[in-house]
This record gives sequence, structure tokens and C-alpha cells, in this order.
Amino acid sequence: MASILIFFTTLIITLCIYYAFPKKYRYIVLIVASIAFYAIMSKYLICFIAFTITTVYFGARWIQKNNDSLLLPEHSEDKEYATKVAKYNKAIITCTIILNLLIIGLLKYFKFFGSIVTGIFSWFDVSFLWPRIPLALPLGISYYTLAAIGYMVDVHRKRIVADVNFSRVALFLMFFPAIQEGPICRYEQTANLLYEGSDANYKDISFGAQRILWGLFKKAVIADRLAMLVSTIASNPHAYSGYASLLFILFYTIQLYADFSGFLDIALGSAQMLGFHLPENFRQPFFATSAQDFWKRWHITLGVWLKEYVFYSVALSPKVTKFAGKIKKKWKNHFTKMIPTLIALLAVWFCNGLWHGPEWKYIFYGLYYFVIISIGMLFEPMMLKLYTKWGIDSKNNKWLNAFRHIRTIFIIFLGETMFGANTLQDSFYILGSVFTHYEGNVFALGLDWQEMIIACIAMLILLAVDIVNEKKGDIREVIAARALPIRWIVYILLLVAILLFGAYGGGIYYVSPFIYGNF
Amino acid sequence: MLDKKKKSIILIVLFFVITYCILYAIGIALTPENKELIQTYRTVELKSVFAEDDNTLDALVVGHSGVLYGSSPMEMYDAYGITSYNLAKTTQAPFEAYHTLTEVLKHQTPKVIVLNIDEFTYDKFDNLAKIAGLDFLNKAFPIFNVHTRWKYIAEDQVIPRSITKNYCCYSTIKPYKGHKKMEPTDKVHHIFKPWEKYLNKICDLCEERGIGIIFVEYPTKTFWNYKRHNGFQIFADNRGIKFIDFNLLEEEIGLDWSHDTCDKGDHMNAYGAKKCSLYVAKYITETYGLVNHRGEEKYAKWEEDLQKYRETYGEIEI
Repeated sequence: MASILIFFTTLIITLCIYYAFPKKYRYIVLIVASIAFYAIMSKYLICFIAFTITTVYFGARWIQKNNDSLLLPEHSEDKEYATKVAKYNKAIITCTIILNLLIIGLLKYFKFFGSIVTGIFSWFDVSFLWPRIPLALPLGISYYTLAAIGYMVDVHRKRIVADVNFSRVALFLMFFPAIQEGPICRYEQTANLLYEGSDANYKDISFGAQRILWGLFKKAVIADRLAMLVSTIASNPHAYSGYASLLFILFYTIQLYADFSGFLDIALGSAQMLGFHLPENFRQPFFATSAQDFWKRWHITLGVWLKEYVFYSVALSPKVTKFAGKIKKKWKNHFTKMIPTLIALLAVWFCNGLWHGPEWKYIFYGLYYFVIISIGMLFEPMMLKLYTKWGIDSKNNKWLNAFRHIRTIFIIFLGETMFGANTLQDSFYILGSVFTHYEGNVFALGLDWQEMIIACIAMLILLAVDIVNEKKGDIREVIAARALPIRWIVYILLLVAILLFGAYGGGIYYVSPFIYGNF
Repeated sequence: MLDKKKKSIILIVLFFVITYCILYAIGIALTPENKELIQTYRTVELKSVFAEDDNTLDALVVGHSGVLYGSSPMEMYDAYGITSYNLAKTTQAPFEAYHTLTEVLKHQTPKVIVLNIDEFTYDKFDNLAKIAGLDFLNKAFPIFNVHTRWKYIAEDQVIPRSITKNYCCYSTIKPYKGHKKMEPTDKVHHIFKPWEKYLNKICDLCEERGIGIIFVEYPTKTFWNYKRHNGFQIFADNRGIKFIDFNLLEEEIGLDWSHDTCDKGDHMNAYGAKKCSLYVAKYITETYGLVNHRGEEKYAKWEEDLQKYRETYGEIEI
């Protein structure tokens, strides 16, 4: 609760000062606001993000300096020098990335690694005591570290030129609306926009505020309400079965979506009020027709980052190419052709799982999607042949598409159950117990009948808005095209719904921390 | 161009005014006649004081968490047959104590008010700003405070009786291991003026209504010191009020800090609370001539409450 209040206080103060400043100096307001917000939220842990900014700034500048030296007349034809520079740059980028990964590794994964090491020792009957260090996690470390690594790699790949302006790099990595839960921005997308500033624009301010309200509706009315049932079952899953377990599966997935996309709406809405359009992180994920499609609609910026910086790095690495070449020489078929892709996908989904947290359930969650997507890719040509043989139009057949939707929904709900239960064993129990009878009262699971009605109506509104967004484009444009009284009624109803039905305060409701804020 | 801009500004202002009026109206519509009925995270079963029959309470114990955990009306009733209610909120500010008391006095005519006084030493900036800020916000936007009452819009909210009378009964033992005694000093705590104003208002209110008042400081090792004791002793002496400081009566009441606290010296547990409650009950019974209501038909509900209380929390052995 406190973090939301601090966020909105920072936003309101920043908005007032930002537009009062000349455009040329507005970036200063953003930097000061971002540092203040970070310092209030994370206190002394600000030193970690300061370290990351400093290392990537100087690391990138060093690489750039080396690259620039290649253009000097004395080196332009010198292949030996070029090789030396390439090696040198590789060492710089490796050191910078390792340094930053060490920080996140120590702060976020230290205990997890400890449990692995202790487990290995106990396997051999050797007692080993992993040190217990009380570690606090700096705000948004999982997000800004990825953005920082992305920036370094882009400079190394000569896709962008290393920035000479330290404050621009700092602002890119610290911008307060995006620091807590993303989106994970790329330097070329946002750095210059943030630094150059924006003009006050009625549409942006109005649309941004609307999006913040919509995000609050998702969080307060849906996510935190569903959390009441979800936490009841998650705390003791073995006491429940049948429809109670089914409700957990449905409600947790929707809670996660409403919570995460709700925060992103607040973040993107806040940025839009300041005049910036950050990359989208969600695009109606439940309308996906395959697991692959789902990940193009869910946590989009993480998917893009993993594709750019893990998938390509692994798939195109000399070792993988060489290995795949050898296999292809022996057996040339569709499966052997897929080897580099599969190796890269394995790396991507392992990283995806590990990024979510230092727990086996997240790694399993990542590998679950690896298996599903790999199977889909491996058997795609065979399925296409079958469709042709059966005379089915694989793209436009209504029944086939309906089947794909339903199949994907199952895949999503199954995956999120592993994600949401406290342990993998709990998730397997919950999934298995759906088919056993449960005699308990549905209104004794944390939501009484009134709460359940509000939750169902709110979820229907969420579905309706997603349908409009999918079919007709941005719902805000659709509403803006309506007459003024209708627009006002919609906005006021939304605000009233948040304040009246939001699951906050009163000694009854508990405002849950944003789920992805912990990652 | 200017007209368009003017029109836009008028429309924006109009939008906010209409929105505010609607939110305010909803807040007022949901606000119960008696604001003390509003449940917040800081009240436990305070609102249930209005479930008591009018003019049946002999004493009201007012204060913050020290009272919430330290004063057990049912133990007082069990031992002396006197009816009291724990009117405590966590981090209660002096003005809240005054407002709660005035609301309850509309329905009750107690013989004595027992006032815990260390809330009148609250840090002036931290709590004042927080509580006053929330107070202002709740007044400006009543919907914040009453929004959870949408469930009861179609029905009259029946106030349940409280079997603990708002007392928080914790039998957990978390011993205090620090210095046992307060160090005597001649230094005097100066009561923050706005808080002193409310302290005087409460005393005046009791005087006007012919209600006795005593000051009590419940045992605590984290919030109280001799300097503060001196400050309030002087205030009490000037107004001719009895001041019972349990922190100076530890031996007399047999307080054991290794056993009678639930959180390492901050608050009392059920054992400590019983010791304090019995001491206060004895004092007010003797001083204000309170009568034993056990067996009286008018107080049959109290007997039922006591039975349920014992079934839930058991007999507290001290």
C-alpha cells in the first residue's frame, strides 16, 4: 500500500514540476524524481543501481572507444588490430555483464544456490553449512539489470553508439514509472525520448490518467479480491479439492494477469501523462492461439529481450553452429535442422524461469513452456501435411482455431498453477485434486457471496475490455469517439468502482504487494 | 482559440466537481448515523459498545494499544461484578479519544472513566501528521472510510455483542529481558499543548457530567519513563485526579516481566492484563461505590458473555 502511495505522490509532484520547467531541462526533473523515488523505496540499496549505471556507462564507452579506433586511418586495414579489438571488447562486455550478474546472483539467488550446494553435499553424506546472509533486494533489480545488459550488448554489436551523456544512461535505467515492474525498455526506444522531454499534451495526460484508473481497477477490484480466495487455498491446498481447486486455478491466473498488467497500465499511464509511450507488455494474452503466441502477448518486453540477447546469442554462437553442422551432416532432416533453435530455446526458457525467481517451480515453469513450444515446432510440418490431407484450411478453419484457443487456455492455466502454488508438489496436488469431490461451501473460501458477485462482474468487464481492445483497437479511442456525457459516465463509474469495490482498507481487505514486484 | 481553451478548462473543472460531488454523496450515503460504527484496521470490536444496553456500563477504559491489551472488562466483571468497556484503538490520538468518549456518553452514564495517559505523549509530528492527514482525507472523501459498507446497503447492520468488550486477549508469553525498573529522575515531561487541551477537555467533560476520572499508565517497557510519570503526576495533582502508574506498582500487583508480556515488554498478555484489570476494578469499586451486578436480571447478557468468554479463552490463572 505504502509503495503505491509513494509512487502516486512522486508522480503528482513530478507532473506539476515537469511541465513547469522549460522542455530543455525537463530531463533533470525526471532524474531527480527517479532518484528520490528510488532512494525512498530502497534507501541505501540505491548504491547497487548506481554501480550498474556506472559500470555499463563506462564499459560501453570503452567498447565504443575501441570501435572508433578501428576507423582511424592507421588501423583501417589492420586485420590483426581488428581481431585484438574484438577480443578486447569481448573481455570488457563479459566483465561488465558478469559483474552485474554477480550482484543479482548474490542478492537474489544466493540462498537458492546454497540449497543446491547443500543438496549436492548431502547427496554424498557430507555436511556443509551454506552461510546465512540477510540480503535485501534493491527495487527493480531484475528489470534494470536486463535493460543495462541489453544496452551493453547493443553497443558491442554496433547497433547503437555508446552514450557520452551519463545522465541520459542513468535516466534510461532509473525512469521511475518503469523501474518497479518494467516494461523492460531498450535504449534506442526510450533513452532519447526521455532525455529530450515532451510537451504538455491534453490527449496524453487524459489517456494516461484513464489508463492508470484502469490499472487500479484491475489491481484493487479484481486482483486483490481474487487474492482472498487464492491465498486461502494456497496456504493449505491439501484441505481443498474439486471445484475449490478449480477455482484456485482459474482465479490465480486471472489474479496474476490483473495484478501484473494492472501495474503495467499504471506504469505506462504514468509515462504517458509525462508524454512518453513506453513499449507495451501485454496484448490480450488469453486470445492467444498457441503457447508461442501467448508469449508474444504476455510479458512482451521480457520475451523480446530474451529473443534478442539470449536466443540469437546462443543460436548463432560458433559452438552451437559447429555442433549443429556436424549433426546435420550425419542426419539431414527437419529435426536436425531444428537443433540450434532448440538449444537456444532451452537457454531462453531456462533463463525465463530463473528470472522469475530463485525457486525450482519457476525453472520448471520455464521448461514447461520449452517442451510445449518445442513439440509444436517439431511437429508443425507433420501437422500441416495432415491438415492438407484432410482438406482443412489450417489458417481460417473456425473449428480448428476454436480448438487452438481452448488448448492454449488449458496450457496457460496449467502453467500458471505451477507458478502460483507455493511449491511444485502443491501445484501437482491442486491439478490432480480437481477431479475429486469437494463438499465445502464455495462462499467459505475467502469470498462471500457479495464478494463473489463483484469479482465475477469485474472479470466480465475485464473480458469485455480485452475483446474491444482485440477487435476494435484501443478502448480509450473507442470511448473518446462517444458523446461527452457517455464519456464522463464511463470515467466516473470506473472511479466509483475502484473506490467503492476496491479491496483495500477497512480492517477487512489487505492490499497485496504487486506479484511481479518481487521478481 | 482562446474560447476553445476556456471551454476545455471549464469542462475539466466541471468534470472534477461533478466527480467529487458523486463520491462525496456516496460516502455520506454509506456513513452510518454513528461514525464509531465504522470498522477500521485500528479498531477491533470497539463498535460493539453500541450493542450494549443503554446506561448499563459502570466504567469506560479509554486509551491506545496499552489498554487494548491491558484492560480486560470480563475479568473485572467476573471478580467484582462491575460492567466496563475497553474503548481503545491502536495508536489512538487524544482527539480520537475525546470524540469516541463523547459518542459513547450519548448512550451510557458510567460512574468513572479510566484514562490511559501515555497517548498524550505521542510524538507530535509523526502521529499527529499521520492521523490528522487521514482524518482530513476521510472527511474530504468519506467514501475511503466507509467503502466496505456497500455489502450492508440493503440490510440494517446488526451490531454484534463483543464477548471481550474490545479487549485483545493474547496468552502468548514473550519475556522482557532488559532493565526491570524505571530510573527515578526529577526531570519533568512537558505535555504537548494541543494534547494537553484534549486532556483538559476530557477532564472537563467528566466534571460536567459528574463522572469520576482516574489516570492509569498500563505497564510498558518501551514507551514510558520517570520523566513522563512526573509530568502527568503534576497534571493529575493540579486537577485532583488519582494517577495509578503500574510501572511503579510492579511488585504490588505481582507483575512478572518474564511471563506477563506478549511482545517483550511493549504490551501485556492475558496474565498481565488480568493483574492490572483486577487492581483497577478493586480501586474503582471501592472509590466510586460500584455495585456487584452478578445475578441481576438486567445484566443477564453479561453472564452469557462471560460464559462464552471463558469457553473461548479459558480461565486465566495468575
